[in-house]
Amino acid sequence: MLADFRVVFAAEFLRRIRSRPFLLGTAIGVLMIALFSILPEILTHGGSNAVGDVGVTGAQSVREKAEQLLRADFVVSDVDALPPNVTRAFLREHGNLSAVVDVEQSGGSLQAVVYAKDPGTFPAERVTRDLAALNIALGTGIPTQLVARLRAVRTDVRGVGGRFDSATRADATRGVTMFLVFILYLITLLNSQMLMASVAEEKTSRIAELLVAAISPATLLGGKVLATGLAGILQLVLWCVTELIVADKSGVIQNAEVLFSAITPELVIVFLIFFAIGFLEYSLLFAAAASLISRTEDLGSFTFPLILPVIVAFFIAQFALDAPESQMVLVTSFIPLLSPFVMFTRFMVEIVPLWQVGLAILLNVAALAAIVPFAGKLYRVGLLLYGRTPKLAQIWTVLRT
Amino acid sequence: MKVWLLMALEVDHVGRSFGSVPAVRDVDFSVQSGTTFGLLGPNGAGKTTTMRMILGILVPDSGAVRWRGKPIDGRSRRRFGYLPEERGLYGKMKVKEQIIYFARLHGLRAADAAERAARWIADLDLTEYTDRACGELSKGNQQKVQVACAAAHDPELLILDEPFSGLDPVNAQTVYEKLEALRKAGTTLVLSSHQMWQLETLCDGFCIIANGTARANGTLASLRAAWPTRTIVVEPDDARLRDVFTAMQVARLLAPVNAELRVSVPSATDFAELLRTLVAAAPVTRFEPLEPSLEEIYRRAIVDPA
Repeated sequence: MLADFRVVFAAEFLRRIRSRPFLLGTAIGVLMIALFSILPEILTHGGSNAVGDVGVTGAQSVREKAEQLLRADFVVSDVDALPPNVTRAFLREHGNLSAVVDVEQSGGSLQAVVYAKDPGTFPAERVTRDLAALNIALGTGIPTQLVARLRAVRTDVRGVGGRFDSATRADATRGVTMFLVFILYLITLLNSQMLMASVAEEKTSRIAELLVAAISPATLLGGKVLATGLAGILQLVLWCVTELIVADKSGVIQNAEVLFSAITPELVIVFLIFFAIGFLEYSLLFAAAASLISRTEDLGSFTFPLILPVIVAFFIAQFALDAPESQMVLVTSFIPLLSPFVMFTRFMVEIVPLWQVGLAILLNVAALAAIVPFAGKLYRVGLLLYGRTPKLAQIWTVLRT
Repeated sequence: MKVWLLMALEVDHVGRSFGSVPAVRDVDFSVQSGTTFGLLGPNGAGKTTTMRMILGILVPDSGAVRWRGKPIDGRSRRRFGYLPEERGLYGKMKVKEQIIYFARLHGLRAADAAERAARWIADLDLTEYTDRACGELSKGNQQKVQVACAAAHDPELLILDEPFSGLDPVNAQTVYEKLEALRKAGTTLVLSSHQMWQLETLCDGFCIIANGTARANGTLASLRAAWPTRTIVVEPDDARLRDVFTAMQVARLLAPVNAELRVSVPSATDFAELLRTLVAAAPVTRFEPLEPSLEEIYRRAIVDPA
């Protein structure tokens, strides 16, 4: 039996990783992860914190100081003088500026007029904040640099009795959790559907009949599910490595050490446990359902009811990132099929008593203990049911025989 | 000598229903080791379900299947081979990989499986398709790959559902020769076909199934022996000879073919005595009692179970 399992596992794994959907899905995943990781940097001018290009004009006495202060948020350039009517063409001619800031000293204070290309989205509040130091300096006579330095108060947010000791660490962990939940969602959906298509192919082309004539359906199902799972893990590793490399090399993450410190051994262990449980639950159900299909055209009608809990679990997990203590999150973190997503998220972003994690795992293992024989029998019976796709009552009758 | 040394496969009054629908009611036959056995019946008669029960894919509701005196288990199944009626091949898998995969599922080591695959590919004239995806092959070549997948592990029992389907005469002959070689090497063959002449040439024993029930089984000789009538061909078609048969009462004149007189008489008729009576009545240039063909036996068994 072990030898049969190895043969099925190896053949299935090779077929899976050579298949076009797997190669395409993996490649697109790598590209998407890389793209989404560096997109913010591309959009914000190569890694600076600048949120736009502005030109500064006005009286020489305040202009230079204003330029210096605005550099905290903008890419700044000089504009000699403004025409009577500032037009879009003028902004375009001066280096495609987002806006021109016209500064002027009026009495003991600073006045600024912003000519923005898009006033709705231009971050005027940043101009106000950046230039506040100059305004104070003009009003009090204290040097601008000193005011600017005194305005910057070092604030350190520390968690009290929570999961995290700092806001940075909380953000990093939340980011890692969001990424892993998304990966879990993607891998469960992609691979379960690939498994479903593979079972349906074997069923509709009658290969299944040959296979179960040689080996037991349980061995066949086990080999297929675990091979698909390994292919999923391979995808997971590739995507995670891509994310880590991109994060490290591109400098997108300001403090890469904080990100890496969020990836703790307990995170890896808990993620792998819930990944394995979730993947097994879904893939067994998808495979069993696929065995009932006599025509590949019927795949869709069987796929949707199984995809639905994956989608629901994913959205609850997203909600749990911000509200891990809500009642809905608490309850769904114990419900098999949902808890691999929700309990993992809870575990990552709040302090969850270990007994709750243990209970969720136990409930899932119990669910698996029920799913394995159910899916196994459905698979064994379904593989030999030809003709029209059976109705629920027919399936039930056959299952009882 | 134990019985199973003679009877390798015993299908002992098996029955199988799906829900309330009986697919097989009562099928009973046995097959000698190293022989070829034909399973006959119209579509939906229960042949495939019977084959699946032999292979252990389905468990009988009643009766039992035994291989060499023992119930079918995982170990015996590995020594069986199966060719289903409809093709079961991975469309994107290469020919050689496919044969190796199925050989390995039947317990062969990788090196042995590769060696057997190469041999079957050569024997079935598939060399030029070795590295082609099965889905790209013609129907006939796919059928040959399917035969190789079923038999590359040199099974003790090979079950073939319509093995010649989709094959042209040349390829059918190639497959036929391979099956014969397997039988000579000791493999027991159970096959079904709608081509009666193929089965008549190939098989040592038969079972005719209709409506889930075995209507007749045995060797062709025993089935013929049980046939109630014989057709006699007499030449020339002379009125005096006709009168002899008319006087017999149990004889029935059939439609003449090519100036031959054809008459159906009970199989227990004393043919020597009948010939003497005919010769005394008129000159006879031909007197030939015909044995019933397998097709005749099949048709009668299907239509008239008694």
